[in-house]
Amino acid sequence: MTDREVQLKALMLRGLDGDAAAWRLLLSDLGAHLRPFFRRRLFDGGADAEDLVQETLIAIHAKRATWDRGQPFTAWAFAIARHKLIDHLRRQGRRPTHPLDEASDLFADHTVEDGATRADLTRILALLPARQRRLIEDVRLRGLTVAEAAANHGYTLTAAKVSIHRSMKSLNARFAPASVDGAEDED
Amino acid sequence: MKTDDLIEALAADLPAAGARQVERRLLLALVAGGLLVLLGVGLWLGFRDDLGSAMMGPTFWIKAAYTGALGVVGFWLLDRLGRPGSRIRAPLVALGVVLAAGGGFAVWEFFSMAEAERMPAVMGESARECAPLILILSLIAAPFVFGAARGFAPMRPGAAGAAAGLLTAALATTLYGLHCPEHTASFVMVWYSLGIAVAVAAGAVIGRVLFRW
Repeated sequence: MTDREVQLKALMLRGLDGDAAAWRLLLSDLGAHLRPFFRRRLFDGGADAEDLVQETLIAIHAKRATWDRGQPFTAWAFAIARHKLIDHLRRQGRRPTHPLDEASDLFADHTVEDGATRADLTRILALLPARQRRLIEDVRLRGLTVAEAAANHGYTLTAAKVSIHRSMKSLNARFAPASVDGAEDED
Repeated sequence: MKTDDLIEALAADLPAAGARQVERRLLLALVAGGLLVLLGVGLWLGFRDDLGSAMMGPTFWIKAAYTGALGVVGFWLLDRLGRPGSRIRAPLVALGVVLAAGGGFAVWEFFSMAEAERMPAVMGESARECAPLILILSLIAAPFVFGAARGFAPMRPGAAGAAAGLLTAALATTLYGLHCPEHTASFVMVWYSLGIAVAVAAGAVIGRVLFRW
């Protein structure tokens, strides 16, 4: 999320100076985030969502001078996307069905679909010791291989495997329903 | 049109946008609109006869400080409302402070006067024409201010219109002070504020139409 912010902000600053290549990159990147964001929030997905993506990109282009350089870029872009979405729904006489609270909705990595799930996960993972938690996050959420994650956090491969196994086991013991306990053994 | 083609087209049309570009245009518009209002006050209403001596005393400047402060707050509000994702708490608090200070001063002045002087102080010599004149002067400056403010991207066009109305009317009223010889805080607080409030309401209506994007 903060990485995205830094990256997009840099592109935005170059775009404001008239750098067409950076601007192309920024708009494409935003488009890729906007497409699923709108699709999930519209009943008739496809065509309307693409229209909204285009409308939002045009607005971001036309109103780029209203971004304050001291303000987070993602918050600004998200506010525009939300504005366009609400406008669209209002024209159709509908109200948004999904809560639209956070810029992170738009810029979330899509490995975990839902913000609520993400919040739950963070809370649950917080129960683990920090070093163990980071390992789990790398392997189970970010999709690194065990070997890569082990190297990142100074584990040997075997130690990492054991640590992950233990973490999953302790979380399972805590949260899985009694009947499934043990059946869902992780390796 | 395919989105990729659209992006190509947009990237091909990319003049550099300096920091604070919209605000700078708005400031220019304020200067232009202000000059025109000044012309209106000078040629049509006429400057107050005692302008020279009035400018030596504090009352003239306190009036100008009140309307000027409203203008600054209006600018601040409009700027915040016009930027997606910005918060308007601080300028709203500032607006409250300005109004409370003006109101408090007027109330204090009102009650420190002898009872017989109070109503004449509120009504002055020009109570009836004050608000309408402020509105007319605001109308002169409005095209400049609202035109420049179209460069913003307000989430709430009505609120942004109200802020633009406040800015416009505060500018016009400050210059109206060059004509209006009224000198009591209660007069200013009632009739100046009334004229500005009507301009704010009108601005909200205009903004709803003009500030769509």
